Amino acid sequence: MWVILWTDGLVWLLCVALLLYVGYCLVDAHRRTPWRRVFSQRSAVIAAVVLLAFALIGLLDSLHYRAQLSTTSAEQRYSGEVRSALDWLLPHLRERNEKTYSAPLATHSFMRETIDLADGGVRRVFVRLRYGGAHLADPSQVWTDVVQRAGAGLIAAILGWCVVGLYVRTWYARMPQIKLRTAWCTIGVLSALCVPVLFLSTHYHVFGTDKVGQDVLYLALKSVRTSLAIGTLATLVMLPLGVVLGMMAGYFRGWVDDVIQYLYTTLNSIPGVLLIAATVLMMQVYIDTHPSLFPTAAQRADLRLLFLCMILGLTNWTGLARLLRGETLKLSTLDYIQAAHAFGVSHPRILLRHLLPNVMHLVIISLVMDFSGLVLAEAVLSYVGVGVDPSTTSFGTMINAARLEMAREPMVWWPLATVFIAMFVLVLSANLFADAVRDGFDPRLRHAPSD
Amino acid sequence: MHRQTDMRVPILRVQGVCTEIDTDNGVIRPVDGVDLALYAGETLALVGESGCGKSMTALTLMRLLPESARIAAGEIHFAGCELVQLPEAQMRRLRGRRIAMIFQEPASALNPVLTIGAQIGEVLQRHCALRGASLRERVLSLLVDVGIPDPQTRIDAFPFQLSGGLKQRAMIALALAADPEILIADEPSTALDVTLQAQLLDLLRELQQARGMAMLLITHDLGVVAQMAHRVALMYAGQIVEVATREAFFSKPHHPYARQLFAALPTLDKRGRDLRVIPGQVPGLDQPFVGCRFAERCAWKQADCALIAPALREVEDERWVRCVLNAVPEDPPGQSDLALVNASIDLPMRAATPLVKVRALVVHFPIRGGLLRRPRSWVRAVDGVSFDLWRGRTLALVGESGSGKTTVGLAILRLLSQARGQIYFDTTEISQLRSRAMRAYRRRMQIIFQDPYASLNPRMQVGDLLLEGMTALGVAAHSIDRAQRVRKLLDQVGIAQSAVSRYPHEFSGGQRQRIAIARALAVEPALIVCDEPTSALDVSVQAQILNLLRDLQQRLGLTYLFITHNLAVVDYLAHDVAVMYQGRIVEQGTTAAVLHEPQHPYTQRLLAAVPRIEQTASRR
Repeated sequence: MWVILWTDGLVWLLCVALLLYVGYCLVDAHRRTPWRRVFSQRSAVIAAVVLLAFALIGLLDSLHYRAQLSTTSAEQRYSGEVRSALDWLLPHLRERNEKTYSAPLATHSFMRETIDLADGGVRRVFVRLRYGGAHLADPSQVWTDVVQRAGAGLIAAILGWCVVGLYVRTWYARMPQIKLRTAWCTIGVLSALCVPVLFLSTHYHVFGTDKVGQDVLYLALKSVRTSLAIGTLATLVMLPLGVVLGMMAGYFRGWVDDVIQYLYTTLNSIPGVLLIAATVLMMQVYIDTHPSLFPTAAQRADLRLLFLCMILGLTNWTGLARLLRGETLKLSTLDYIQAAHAFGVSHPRILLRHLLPNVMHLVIISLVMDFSGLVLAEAVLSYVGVGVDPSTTSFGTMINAARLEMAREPMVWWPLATVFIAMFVLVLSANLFADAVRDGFDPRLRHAPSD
Repeated sequence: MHRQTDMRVPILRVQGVCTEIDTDNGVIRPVDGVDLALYAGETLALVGESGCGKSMTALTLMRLLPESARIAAGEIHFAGCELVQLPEAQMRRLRGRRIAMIFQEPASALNPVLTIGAQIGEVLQRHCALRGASLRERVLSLLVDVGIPDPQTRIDAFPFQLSGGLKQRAMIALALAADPEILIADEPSTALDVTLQAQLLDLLRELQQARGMAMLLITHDLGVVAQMAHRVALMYAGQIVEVATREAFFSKPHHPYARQLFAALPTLDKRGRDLRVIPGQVPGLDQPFVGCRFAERCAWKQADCALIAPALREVEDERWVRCVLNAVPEDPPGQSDLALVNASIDLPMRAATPLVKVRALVVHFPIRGGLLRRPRSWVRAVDGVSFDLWRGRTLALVGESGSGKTTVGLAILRLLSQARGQIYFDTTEISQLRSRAMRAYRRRMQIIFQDPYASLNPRMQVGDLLLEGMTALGVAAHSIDRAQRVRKLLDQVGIAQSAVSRYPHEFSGGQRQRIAIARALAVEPALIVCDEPTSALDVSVQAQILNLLRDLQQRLGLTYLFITHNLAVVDYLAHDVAVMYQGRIVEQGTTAAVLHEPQHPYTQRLLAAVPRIEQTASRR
């Protein structure tokens, strides 16, 4: 049975909107040019490919279902656990849990365990892991095995890369300005890194396991969706608020401007964390007192995630509004707006036809720039404990857990290291892409048309 | 004076200088083989339309090129040095000390966080090793030299505390601080009003004569050239096409470009006739040229002009021309006849009632302050203005910037909520009409703006731009009718039909202005407010637009309110004139009466300040 969580629906809706925008850009030369400028930069292409890989993981993880329990009985029964397409693709990651911590690529447990000997005595030894490297008769062979498997993965990756390359070649002629070769190379590097990991993950815990024995790689993959959902849905909330209020303030001026300015100045002067904490806690109380509304734990956690997105959006629209207010103030004194007034064109029409297209580049730039900020904000909020539901896997909750792990002796470093790498790559590529978008859309960098 | 200089060696000699700029679309050569000689004590005017490479030539001489540009070839000889090969450290010692430059925009050339005195003192410290009291003394005397009143207090003023004219003077003081031998002035008066411009040009001339400096004056204004220059160098598409003494240049220009430029200037004696336009536009400088660069636009073009590039050669004493013609060319065939045909149609008589009657128009802008943003004081932009607009005639509203001309234009169109007073359109009082009732009158009056780059929405196709007014005001109900009208409008203003689905940025400034005119015409107005429609355009393009406006007036019986500061255009085009000064009309009447027998002292002052070509013979 398919389950459509609130955030799933919105994420997919956003995807459809994005595809429509892409189509819209493709038919209109005027909208195509800035994007062409964006993708003629090497860093933008690399960042976009990496972001697409993250998005693919996130979207696979946004297709949720509940497994059918018994196929025979007339009455259909479903599992109470909500799974995603990602879980279905990578069952070995989800199911093969160890007892507790184990180091990356380990064959034995991280801590000594007490086992009863046949003679009645006890010994404390490193026991073999239940799944990690369990196929090896001789655990000392682990490195040979790892190298073999990784090598097989690498060969598979190169083969796949060449097949993709043949396909990409046909595009070269059609899109000469876009750095397709860079994209192809990025895909190569990405798959050379990821496919061996995937090959290894069937028999090892590549990034180790956490306290309850879950594979850290799996947790990191699941966190991607949470991050992307927060990054995109929060902007979905702030976008209409920022655009409508900002443009109205700049265009109508007078008392409208005053009211909107007072509103966002007030909102800005309340610390964001305070507002978010209060709202999330209120939401938690509501969820706890109405258990009947939520058939599964996942749906409960999802509602909290949705609310976190909304409240992040509500506290973040002021920057965009202020930016658009300034730009609209400037634009609305321009001659073509005066000319539209002289034709008696109505206010909504001037806002939509004349002003919105001319501030769109600012909206796109700030959207892309805010994304990485929101991803980081989620991590911080979850770390503090007012972020997502504890049952939702996110970078924030993983960092929160790492707080205790780092204090252990010997130290459990791998969950935090994994989170660090994943977030670093995600945020860095988002920032690089944002820079490229800003350069591509900034009218000051555009070349004047030759007269 | 310059007669004596001929025997001397030039202090600055430029030979075959080429400057290249790298862009995304390849290399462009804004300066392509320029030869110049500058003698001590003379003013050489470098003239040309925008995009000819004038400013780039100046920057090349100073070696102040942007990062993407480089001097590709040529030599610059100055004071025994070859500047192109000079190390940057030595060049820096020359700049400011021996060659100084003043810029068009004083506001951006002065550092806003330093006082005037500190900025001038910095130059003196560096080049003249003055300190303390003697430094201040020297700065004060410089400020006196450039005619800044009350120098004792102004020396400690920040740039924002000075008016535009004073800022420009401060910048001149800055340039002259180290007593340079050469002053390069890049459009020094373009940003200033006519009266200020006249004062500034006088000052520059006096300073030059007193100090015996050589001056390279870069300008597009032939009037300024006629007043200031000893010799003239005309530039076209990165090359010098004619060098001559001022008298020779203005009395009988040799190069066809110069001839056609003069023919395109609006003047009184061309009134009622079409101005001769230079067809086409300045070619892009990113292409390799074969043959003469002006050939395509030349009225005297000969068969091999497009094949053989002419060299700059001395055709007579002190006159160098880059053209194959040996003698000063006669009028090109076929053009003079055309002009005479139109000459008979002029001056429609005044009808019984004016189309628009403006009475006691007042526009005061509030300056708000305090918590509740109550108005604290008022800017009296327009302070009681009354005039009539007669059907089929052109009223020119003349004045300096800040006199309230544009505000009057916007107020008549009811685009300013602060306007008070009565405006009668065809005997109906429209100043109090609500927006719904006003719509009927919006159709009857339209506006054309100064800046063709800001007046068209860059995100709309030309077809949509023209349709917008029709849709909003319900002209031509059927969409097929509208499409037909769009085609007819483009035809009227001389733009190709294919423009419908193109965006404004694909057009040049002159073409955009045509599109803006077509947009105004779309709703079939009776009155068009033209707010400086040609002041952002080059002379040759200005002629095209003025011809178009005049032609449309005759064919459609349009009434124009022509807002301008260019009195030559008024002389050429307007039937009536109203002179505005500080929000009031100080004098109005027919063009002949106001411009040729001015009564009010301000009008007299304004007219005296305009640099004119006709005065050339009488001066100096």
